[in-house]
Amino acid sequence: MLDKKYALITGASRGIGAATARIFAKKGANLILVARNKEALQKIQDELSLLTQVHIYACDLQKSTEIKKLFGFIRTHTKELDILIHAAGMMYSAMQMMSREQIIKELFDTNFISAYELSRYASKMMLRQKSGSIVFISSIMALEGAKAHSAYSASKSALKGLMHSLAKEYAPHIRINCVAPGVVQTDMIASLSKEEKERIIAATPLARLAMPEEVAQTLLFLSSDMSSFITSQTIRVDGGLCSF
Amino acid sequence: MENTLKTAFADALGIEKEMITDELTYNTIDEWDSVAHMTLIGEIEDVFDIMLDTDDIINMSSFTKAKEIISKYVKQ
Repeated sequence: MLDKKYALITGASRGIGAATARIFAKKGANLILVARNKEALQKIQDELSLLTQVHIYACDLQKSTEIKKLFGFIRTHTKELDILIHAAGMMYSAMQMMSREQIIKELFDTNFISAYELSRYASKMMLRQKSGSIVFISSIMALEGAKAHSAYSASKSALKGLMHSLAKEYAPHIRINCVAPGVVQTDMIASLSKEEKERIIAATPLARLAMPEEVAQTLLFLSSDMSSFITSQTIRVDGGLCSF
Repeated sequence: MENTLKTAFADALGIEKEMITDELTYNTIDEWDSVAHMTLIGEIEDVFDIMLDTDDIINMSSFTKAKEIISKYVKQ
């Protein structure tokens, strides 16, 4: 399905990013995996190298200079890029009155500015090939809002605006979409109490949390030619959950 | 360098090399619009194996300007 396509996946050391790397490898994609934790990346590289070509690059996506270096690495090692999955993200939970400005800035650097910079460099490569698919991981909080998540919701909502604009800017060559997961069973929700998880499950018609692989399957769909006429869309993977 | 740059312009914009003169300016021909500009930037970066700064991408408004900018990155 993704035979020999070059896919850049950020946040690839765990959660949705790692699940996506595993599924893409099985579907034949060559991988460029990015995360801060080099050891965790190496473990995934060891695991997937038998299936496909796997390049790893450890960097901090909060720094634009490091994103530029990442694309220098890609230009040197693969010369091609067909897919960008931006799964790296930062969660922040605090009531507005308790939210610290410095953390809000870090949140926007990680969740939004990095997406802006990654898509800027990726689209240059994709436009030359006259094809490509970019998918940002947004959140249902971007669509619905959530108590104690105003900054997080806003940073993920910004991705949606970016996606709609770039989808127009780079059409017809590059398709750009968002996936908006509900609450996914990853490290990111480690801070949620048992009661909070139970409340979310009770409000979810499918009566459970999402598994990272279920989000990854949607990313596979949006990255492949199966979605060749889909752009500028946000696909919810939320089990029917519509409000927190 | 100038001939390589001319080839990059011709390939990226899909025009004949003869059309590429010092007077060729961004947005004065149909083939060099904003999207084609991004393709051109990608082609130049690939051909010269460089990564252009955003200011240089914005300022590359003519073939003459492109020569001036690329010369900063490429040793003659």
